[in-house]
Amino acid sequence: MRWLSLILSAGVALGLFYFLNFPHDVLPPLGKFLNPYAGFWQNNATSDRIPAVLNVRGLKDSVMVLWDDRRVPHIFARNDYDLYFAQGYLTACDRLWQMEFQIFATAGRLSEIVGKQALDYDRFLRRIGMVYAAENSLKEMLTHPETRTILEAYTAGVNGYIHSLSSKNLPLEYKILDYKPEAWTPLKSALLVKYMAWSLTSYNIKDLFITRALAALGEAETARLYPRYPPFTDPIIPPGTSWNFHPQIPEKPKSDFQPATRAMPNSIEFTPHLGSNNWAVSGEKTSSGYPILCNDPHLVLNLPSIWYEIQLVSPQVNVYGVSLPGVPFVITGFNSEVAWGLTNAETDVIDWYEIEFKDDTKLEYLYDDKWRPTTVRIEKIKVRGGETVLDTVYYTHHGPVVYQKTETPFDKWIPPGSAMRWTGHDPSNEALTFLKLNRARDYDDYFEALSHYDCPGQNFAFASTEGDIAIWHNGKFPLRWQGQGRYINDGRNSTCDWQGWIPRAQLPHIKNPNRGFVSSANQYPTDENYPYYLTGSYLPFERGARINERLAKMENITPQDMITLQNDVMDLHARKILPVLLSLLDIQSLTQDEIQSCEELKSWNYEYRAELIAPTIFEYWWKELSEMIWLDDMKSPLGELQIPLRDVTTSLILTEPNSHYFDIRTTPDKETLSDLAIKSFQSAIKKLTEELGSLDYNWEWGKARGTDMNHLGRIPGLGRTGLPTNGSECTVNMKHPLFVGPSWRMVVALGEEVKAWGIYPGGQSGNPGSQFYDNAVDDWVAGKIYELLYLKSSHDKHELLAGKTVMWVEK
Amino acid sequence: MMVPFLYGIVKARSGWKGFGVGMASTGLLWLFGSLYYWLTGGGIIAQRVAMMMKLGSPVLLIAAITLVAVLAGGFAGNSGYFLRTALRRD
Repeated sequence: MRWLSLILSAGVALGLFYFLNFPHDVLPPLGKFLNPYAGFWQNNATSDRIPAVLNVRGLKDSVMVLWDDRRVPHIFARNDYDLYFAQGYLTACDRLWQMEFQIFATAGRLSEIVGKQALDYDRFLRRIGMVYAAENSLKEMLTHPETRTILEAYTAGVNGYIHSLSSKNLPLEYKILDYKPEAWTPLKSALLVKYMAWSLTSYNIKDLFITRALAALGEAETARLYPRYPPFTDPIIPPGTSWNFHPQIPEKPKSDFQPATRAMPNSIEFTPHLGSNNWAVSGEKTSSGYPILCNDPHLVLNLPSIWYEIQLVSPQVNVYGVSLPGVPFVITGFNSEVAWGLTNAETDVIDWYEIEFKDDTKLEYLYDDKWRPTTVRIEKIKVRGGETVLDTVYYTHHGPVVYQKTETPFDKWIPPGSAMRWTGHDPSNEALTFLKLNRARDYDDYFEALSHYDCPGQNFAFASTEGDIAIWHNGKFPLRWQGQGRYINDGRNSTCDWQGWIPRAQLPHIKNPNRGFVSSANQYPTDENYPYYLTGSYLPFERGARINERLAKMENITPQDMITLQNDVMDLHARKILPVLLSLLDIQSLTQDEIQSCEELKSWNYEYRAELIAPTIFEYWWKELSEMIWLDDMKSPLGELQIPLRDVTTSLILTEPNSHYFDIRTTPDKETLSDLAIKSFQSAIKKLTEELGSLDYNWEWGKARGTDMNHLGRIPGLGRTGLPTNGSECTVNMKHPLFVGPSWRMVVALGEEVKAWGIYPGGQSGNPGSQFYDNAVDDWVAGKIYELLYLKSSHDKHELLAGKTVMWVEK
Repeated sequence: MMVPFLYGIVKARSGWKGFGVGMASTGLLWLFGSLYYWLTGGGIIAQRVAMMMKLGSPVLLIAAITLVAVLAGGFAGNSGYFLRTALRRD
């Protein structure tokens, strides 16, 4: 009997012990996690306390950190090594988990944390050669003594923090996912740069799709539906700018190469397109007489935020802005003399080369009639709770063959059987650009800094207290003949390789233009007179056009005017097309509900405000109309094609109202544009009513299409969802449903004393238990912005300062 | 769980005593610990973890933590007692 009691009792106890001390499916070991003395309670807001002293091994001298009331560290160091050491250490204090997780994701190592569910994703990251790319860049970064020292200092700082951690003060996500941080290395910083590079250049992998369209539709129709040069433009470099150089344009090789086209799956998942705004206004147009520069990069919005605000001060530099956790320097920001900002260039730097292997071993491939050896790279993917998976990647001189012809790509845009040529794989040292920009004093310094920058291409806007403003569409862009880069290339033929790079000095740029401002919003960089062939995933022109329209009208511009412009939600697409569409509606044929919706649209001022209903109605209507126009025409013998870009549709409606595309092929009737306008409107109202009920506050734009900011690791409860944001895809205050938007807004007013304002949707701390995790989100939604504190010395006093930390050298 | 288990082996006079003392010791330890950390800056973390675990509120979260501690401590103490008595018999 006693034994029975023992067995029963011990059985339960052991069962509980097992349950509480080991992870189960999505639950962490609950015993540790719930234990108040070791688990999540240790991540409460007491970590927000500013320590007066930090004893840190690895510093050469003491470092003073002044903290402001938003937990931005203003770091004052006596030498550059300590400065970047401290940047690494303090960034890790707030964002270590984010830094590591992003690296694991980029390196294709998520399976080590979450198990085999991440295997396909990891394999994809290995196949596109992210670590290979980082290794090549790192070699370059380490050859330059300054970037080498700084990378090593930053790494030592991050590791200094990691070594100080015990199990109980690990960041929360380590406790949830049940793992520990590993040592940081300079390669990981290089990987983070590649993470950004891939995010910002991988829109241009649609060559497979255009190749198939060409085979299905022929050249004329492909050029019409998927034009390289967009139908509406307001280019970055003002139209009519002349180019005073002799371009070296490569000759198109004679080739009858036809790439093997493959059936594409019918639904391509939506990938949010990241873009940004920047502009700089000359002192001629500002009330202060000094330039003002503004930047708001648009990225996927997560918590913790992708950016970390910081001020870096040493005898050689004093710069403020946002940094990327994992990489030293300030990426976009200002010092007392200059300000700069970035938007994505969008110019294509990824091309595909179809490979012919000699045999199934894939050890050789055909190139200029000779067999050339591949380089074989074995990737080892460790899987938590399972066996390590080995994956073989075959590299050609172009780059890796990402998926073989027999495989199903994880990313459906990837053409099987082709090698990927990406400038991101080439050695480069973008770190040097940021080092120099952080320290720049004038236009010449900025120009020099840009010469080291390769990938991802960016439009670098610039302003200086000397009065210069400028913008360069800058990066390492391949020299192409007409048409190259849009289609899959012949990997067998050396004349199809990239023949060189557009010379830096000949890239699109302008300095001190007559119109008194420079701007960019990811649109096509030039008018059609630019001699080099540029192709890419440029974004619709409306955002850039709106910025230019406003800046051209404004005089005596103040920082507040710029903040207002960053929050502008006038939609130029709606303004252009809605009156035309409304004129096609026959009110007699509408029901009462439909008339009510129609009235909303008629009285609308084309602003995408969260509290308005008209934006929602218009979005639904446009989507129905687009699909009605195109879906029936998108079927081809080679599979389904993609609906053309929105501006092609707009152009069609405005210039070819009798086009055959308005006829729906699958119906016996011959529809016209008017028919489709009415049908799509009615269909839109029907859908809206089904999804949101009858017309009332649920149709408000901020409710129907709000913004969700998820946790980086998609852990529920740690994000901010349902934010009632303003904006559309083409307004200055941009919003891409559901999770892309301005990740940082910055306005810099240069002058005798530089003044600046900034905000990002999140907070400095990556600790979900901190009051600084998401403290700025609501203000950001409301369009507010904070004054940035640009300090001159560690003895500065200011009402926004909240505390001080001295970092001492620990012996 | 070790401490209540050892108590059960060494000191408990009955199975119920073992259970009771184990339950009380671990339960109170975790309850007071949770309350302490909740009241000293734990409002935000409690809210988020409660949402993550679909428990709705920090109060339910603390209740769940206490329950876990009570059960673990209780059965540990209880089985410690039975181990001792079973071995003694032999």
